[in-house]
Amino acid sequence: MKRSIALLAFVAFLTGCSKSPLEGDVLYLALETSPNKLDPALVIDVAEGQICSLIYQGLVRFSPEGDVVPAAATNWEIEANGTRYIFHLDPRARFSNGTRLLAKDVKASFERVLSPTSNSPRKWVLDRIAGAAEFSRGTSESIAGLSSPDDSTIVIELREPFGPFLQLLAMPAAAIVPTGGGGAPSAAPPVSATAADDSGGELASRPVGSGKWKLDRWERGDFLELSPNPYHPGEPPRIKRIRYRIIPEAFTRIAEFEAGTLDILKIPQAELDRFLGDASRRDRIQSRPELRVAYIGLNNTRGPLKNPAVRRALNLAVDVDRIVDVLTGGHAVRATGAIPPGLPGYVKREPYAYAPTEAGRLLRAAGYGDGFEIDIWQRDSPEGNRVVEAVQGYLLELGVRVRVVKREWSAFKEAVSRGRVDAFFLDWYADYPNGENFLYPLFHSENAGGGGNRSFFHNTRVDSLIESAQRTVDRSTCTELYETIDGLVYDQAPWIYLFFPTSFVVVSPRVQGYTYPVLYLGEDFSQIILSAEGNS
Amino acid sequence: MFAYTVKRLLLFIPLLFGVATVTFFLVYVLPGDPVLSMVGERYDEETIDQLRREMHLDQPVYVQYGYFIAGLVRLDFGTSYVTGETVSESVLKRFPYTFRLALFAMLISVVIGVSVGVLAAWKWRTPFDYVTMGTTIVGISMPVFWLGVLLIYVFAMKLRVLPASGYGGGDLRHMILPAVTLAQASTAYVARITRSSMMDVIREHYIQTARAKGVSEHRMLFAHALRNALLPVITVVGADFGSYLSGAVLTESIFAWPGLGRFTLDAILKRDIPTIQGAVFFMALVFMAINLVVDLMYAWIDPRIKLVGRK
Repeated sequence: MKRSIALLAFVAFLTGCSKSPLEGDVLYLALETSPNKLDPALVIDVAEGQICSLIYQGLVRFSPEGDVVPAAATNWEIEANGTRYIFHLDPRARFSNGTRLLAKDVKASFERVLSPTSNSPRKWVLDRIAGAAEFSRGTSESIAGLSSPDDSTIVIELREPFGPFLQLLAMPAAAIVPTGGGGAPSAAPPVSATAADDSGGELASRPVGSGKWKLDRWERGDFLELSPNPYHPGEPPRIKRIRYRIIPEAFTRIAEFEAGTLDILKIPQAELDRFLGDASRRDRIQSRPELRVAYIGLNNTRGPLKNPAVRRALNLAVDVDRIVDVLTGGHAVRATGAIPPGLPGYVKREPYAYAPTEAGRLLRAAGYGDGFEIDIWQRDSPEGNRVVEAVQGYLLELGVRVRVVKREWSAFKEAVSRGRVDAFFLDWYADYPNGENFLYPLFHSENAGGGGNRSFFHNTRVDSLIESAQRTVDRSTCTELYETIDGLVYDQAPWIYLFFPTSFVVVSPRVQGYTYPVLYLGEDFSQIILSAEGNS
Repeated sequence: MFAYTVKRLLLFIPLLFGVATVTFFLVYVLPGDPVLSMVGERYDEETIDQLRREMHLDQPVYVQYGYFIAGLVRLDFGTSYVTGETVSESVLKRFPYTFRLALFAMLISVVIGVSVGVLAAWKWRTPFDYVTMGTTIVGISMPVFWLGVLLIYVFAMKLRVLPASGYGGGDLRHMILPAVTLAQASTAYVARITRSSMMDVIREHYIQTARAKGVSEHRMLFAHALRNALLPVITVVGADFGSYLSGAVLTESIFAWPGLGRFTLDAILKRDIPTIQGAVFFMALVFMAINLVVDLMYAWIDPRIKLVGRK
């Protein structure tokens, strides 16, 4: 008798949780990694960028389509051949603590990122402003190209025209932080990655911004909860809260989605066929080509890889079309350049066709008839494992013996950035949707190593063309330049060019009005409606 | 016993110092640059140098070790490179999550493991014995990751009776699947140890005497035999509990549990040196404390054992 009562109680206890634990007006989302610092000056990864772009806003922001749209500034003029930007601030803009957002906040926010004592890894976002370098070095008290003639106007002057500047201003590093009280003198809290002083860590753990959302709760490693910023002047979001849970394992995220306790799921590659094959879900799946290029970087300064003919031979030896078909299930576009589809400058070029015989001939002509040995470094990832193994097989047919070296990110990054490896599998995500964000960091010799150019590609013509593209304000001329540069680099084959992946998200039946943004920074969830009927 | 405890506590100091030193040098020789974890994929050398200076990473290793020891003496591990939070504070914040899970898992493994073990010994060479001991082999051999995934699949995805993951604000239902996963191997092991230890005890003369006196089987098993059979069980349980308290990385990852294991793993992957040092130090301390408690329990369970602080 006792036993059956206990059993009944247990069943009742279990079934007690079978009804959906979701609250009707809360959007449930997952992050793969836990954000560490929510100070916009210190944002370095996707999770931090995503949360910061909800909490903070800059003068401008990205729309879900990737366009630059007004944020703290309602409108702006660009003068003097693209070197002077005059922004007019929204007089209604307020921080989530209720204080007004003034021009001096903008000024102080930029100064704190660029200040000599700041250790922001994102100074490059603002260093195009005239006088930024002098200010950063400590040789100037103020930033010459930054002024606020009145409370609602901010004037930015650049050293020279820079095409993508507006897009840079939509990045978290250019977000505006409060300087403390409407009338108080400008004193933004200093940026401190190491929290060497007490005031520095403040913003990183208790963020205050003027974005659409504000942070209510943050249990590190567990979840973050956001609610609409009551002082935001725009139309308020239609949901009451967003709850981001930190779920590191892909399987667990899928399980949560399938159990109905997650509203939006990025579908892992291995699960794509199952999701796309399910008719009941198909209309809830959205896809877009990612602004990301996957490649095998070849260190252009090491051994046989110094020779462009050898690098071309390696490209000819790998059947990339087959890799795309088989390993990505066709959900990727073959890369014949570094600029992804959807961005000005993307061109579908004649690819390095799969031609093992021609590759062998090139290699013999270069004096490597007997082949050679190289290491390819990679991080342990499902995508990487499959692709690198395939490439290893193709190159072996050419006589190039590949030793695959797997390391976790920290060791990988150190070795690759310092040029200590022959080759490596890596990808590059756009920080802002512009071809320049692929060409300059990845191929300009100024950025060799840590700046992004980890294949140590060096070509003076490419360098000067990239610089002139950056100075070009006219869009069509700029696009033409991007196309030319990307083509020139492709011909030099600094990488084994692979593909631009496509990614997919699926939303739960109760979510309506969601648009999968081109860039994760463009997400604001303001249009989402949660219907009651889907909540089962 | 008091003198013994004090002596053992004093012994903690050189041991912890040793652990801290070994950790320091292990982290030092790891490949990977902690500064690079702080700067993202596009960085300039000036920022790197500045950070390196601030974190004393530009100093020779003995100077860094000096800073480390100076902090250690004050039990100050500094602030995390990655989160900017005080290390000791973050470790203490994560520990309760781990503690709850470990405690629940331990409860499962002790209650189920000991009961099954006692019954199997009692029903020696019966189908019950064969089936349970067969099952324990499966329990010991099944990888944690696999069991976790299986449980989530069945109970969260298919039956939808339990939450798949997360701490759930302390809701007990969130704890069931991770605790069962964590307890699985230990339960099986405890059952086997209890069984074999019980079988030795059951054959002792005093048990035969108790039987002859007409003591009920139930009383004989649990009051007379079990207490004497418990010593090896406690050793196993103590060691397992100690390791659970230092965080169960796999279980915590599958179940998105915000415990110490995942926290430390993240720190290791990011080369967050102060956090690694603080977390390892704390784990060592917990492990030593558990061992001490286990030793004290020996004396409590078996009064014949005398704990003396030997000269």
